[in-house]
Amino acid sequence: MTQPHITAEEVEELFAKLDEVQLNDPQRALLSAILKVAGDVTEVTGLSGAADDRPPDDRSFSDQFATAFTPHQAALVVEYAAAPQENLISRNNPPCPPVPPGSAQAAMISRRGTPSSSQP
Amino acid sequence: MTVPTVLVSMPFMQVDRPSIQVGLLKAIGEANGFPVRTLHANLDLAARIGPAYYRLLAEHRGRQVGDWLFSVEAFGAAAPDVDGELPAEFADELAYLAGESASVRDRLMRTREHDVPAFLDALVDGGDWHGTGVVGFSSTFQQNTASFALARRLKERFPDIVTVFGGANFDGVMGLELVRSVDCVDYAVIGEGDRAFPRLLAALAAGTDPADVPGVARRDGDRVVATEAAPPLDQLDDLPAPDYGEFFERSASLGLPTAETWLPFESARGCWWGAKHHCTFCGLNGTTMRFRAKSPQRVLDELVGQARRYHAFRFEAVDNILDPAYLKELFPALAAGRHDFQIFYEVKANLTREQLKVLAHGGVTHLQPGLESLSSGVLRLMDKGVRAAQNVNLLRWARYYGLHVGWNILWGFPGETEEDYLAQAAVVPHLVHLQPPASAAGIWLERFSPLYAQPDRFGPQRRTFEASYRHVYPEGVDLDRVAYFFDHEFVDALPPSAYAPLAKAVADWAEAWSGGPPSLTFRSTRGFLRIEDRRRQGHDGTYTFHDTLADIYVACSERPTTAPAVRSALGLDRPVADVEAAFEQFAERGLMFLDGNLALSLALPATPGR
Repeated sequence: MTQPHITAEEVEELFAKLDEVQLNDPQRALLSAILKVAGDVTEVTGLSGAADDRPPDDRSFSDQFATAFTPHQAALVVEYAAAPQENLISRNNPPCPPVPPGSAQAAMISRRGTPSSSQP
Repeated sequence: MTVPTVLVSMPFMQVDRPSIQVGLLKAIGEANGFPVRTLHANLDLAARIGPAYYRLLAEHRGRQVGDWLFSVEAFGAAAPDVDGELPAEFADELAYLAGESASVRDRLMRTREHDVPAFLDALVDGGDWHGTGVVGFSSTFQQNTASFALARRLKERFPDIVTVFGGANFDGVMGLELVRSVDCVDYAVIGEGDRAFPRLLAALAAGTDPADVPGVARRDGDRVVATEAAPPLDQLDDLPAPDYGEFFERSASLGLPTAETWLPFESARGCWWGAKHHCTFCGLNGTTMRFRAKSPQRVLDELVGQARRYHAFRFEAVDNILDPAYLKELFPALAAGRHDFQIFYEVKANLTREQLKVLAHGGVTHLQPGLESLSSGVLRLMDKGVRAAQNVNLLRWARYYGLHVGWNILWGFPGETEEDYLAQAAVVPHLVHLQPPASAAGIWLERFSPLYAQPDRFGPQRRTFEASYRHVYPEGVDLDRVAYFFDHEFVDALPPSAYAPLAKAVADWAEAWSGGPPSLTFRSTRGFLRIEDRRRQGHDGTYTFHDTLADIYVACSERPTTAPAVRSALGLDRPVADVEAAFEQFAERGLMFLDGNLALSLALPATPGR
């Protein structure tokens, strides 16, 4: 049988669709198992780079992890483009729960956006 | 014959934006040949008491303080709590309302006894009400009693004025009870008003009974006569653009700034996710869940038209959820047209990196994705339809593309465990380079939500209307039918202490951002990876990985991925267990987020904008 050509985008679309499917736990476990098998037998291109012909690792995973960290060397600072930091949401939203003692901060925003004309 | 009409938006509508409700209905009324004026009366109170204080009252709606401020003027001698017990009863929660030199109670009582009556007097005395046939009130959240108070005074002064109420507070049984129990309400539109409102005006003009109009209710003695609402509007493209002209005129006359105004626009109604799987806590879309959207071209035309009309570039979608079709048509068109808009949208959290890039390039700067939790178990209890790894991934790519994310952590769901929250508290320190939640707190029980409407599904619960309602409405109002928020306790609820570690972790997260956002970035090439960790002051450092480990980490950067998928994508000879072991090691160092069988690298590419 001809192996179908699957792209990373197609995988993402499938995941997005599956996210919208309501499953109970056994169904979700079964689907997860099916996807594992599918992932093992289907070649997916464009994920993060295909296999290459480099030699095998010259150091074990555990050795690498043991020596991976060097303190006080993080000099790289990246400033991504940033949206205005004014909290639009806080001015915007429906009520939020009262703040229980010890919670993080005043509940300035709620979990949803501006109510439309038909919603409280 | 026409009926001169005024549509009013009363406190505590936000002061910084026009009301899309009255703006849209004005445009609809005029399209049907009825002269309609809008009155953003909320601006007058904001100018009177000061915008900063007004915003505090409008933004915090934990208790019904706004409605309480107007209840004496709305209900007269029948009003409860004339002596002002509410501030004392909820003193701890209302501490944010203290003035510079006044206690919370003194400040609120002054507002209630002096500012509110003066505000209402000025509206009635200073308004051009002669010849007005209909005064309509749009009421959402804490706009009820302010609207009743003005309606009551207007009807005393101008007995021929007909009052019409509508908006979310009149949806379903809430509206029917308010029509029954509040004398100054002549008619109410129950549900969407786009078609009912002009038909109601036409009935009044023709002298026929408005209660024959689908969706309109009126009082008849001690009962309510209502005609079943017409089906919700399908073709949103048929709606006119909202008319905000009088908002800007009134703001200018009152000296209120409008340069930073976000213009509300509506591109869709309902919720396509909620129509299939209603999130258990959500009470929005009480009777109109079905999703409907304007065409992408129509939305584009409306944004351009409103920008030119009101000299504005900031737009706030009032939609509950983004139409996925816009990702392929609207936002690419906005990007291609080089429109310099800043747009706010609510979205579902399962957006991919590429989709967030499309949104960012299309002008979206602010997102509200409804993340709600960092636990897949709790998200499943909510019926959210996403996993925690997807939530974290959205936060990652939103940061990368410069999108401001407004979100909360919620707790208090039937079936959750203490472990759900201990696990979240444990992972939060690894996420501090991502935008923190604005709050972490328990859910509220809202009318129309599954948690409210389906008690058999979620187990026994104690519930009663939220406690401050009884300080607002007279005895004759059935609060079980009017209230939108309910105090509750599920029988298997966790103790408050179960949430304390997560609350502390979230507080630390917010604190970490107070001096500028921490960062966790990587640079990579094939077989080599360097991660720069600047998440915790005093613990900065660099991680370096080579060969397969480097490739595994990068393979889990785009989206949450399984070990078999990584093994396959990289063509590894190693067993899946080796990949899983690498996941665990990365996670132990706070470099990966593990969610069941999914792994997600937490660092962001150091090279921006790709």
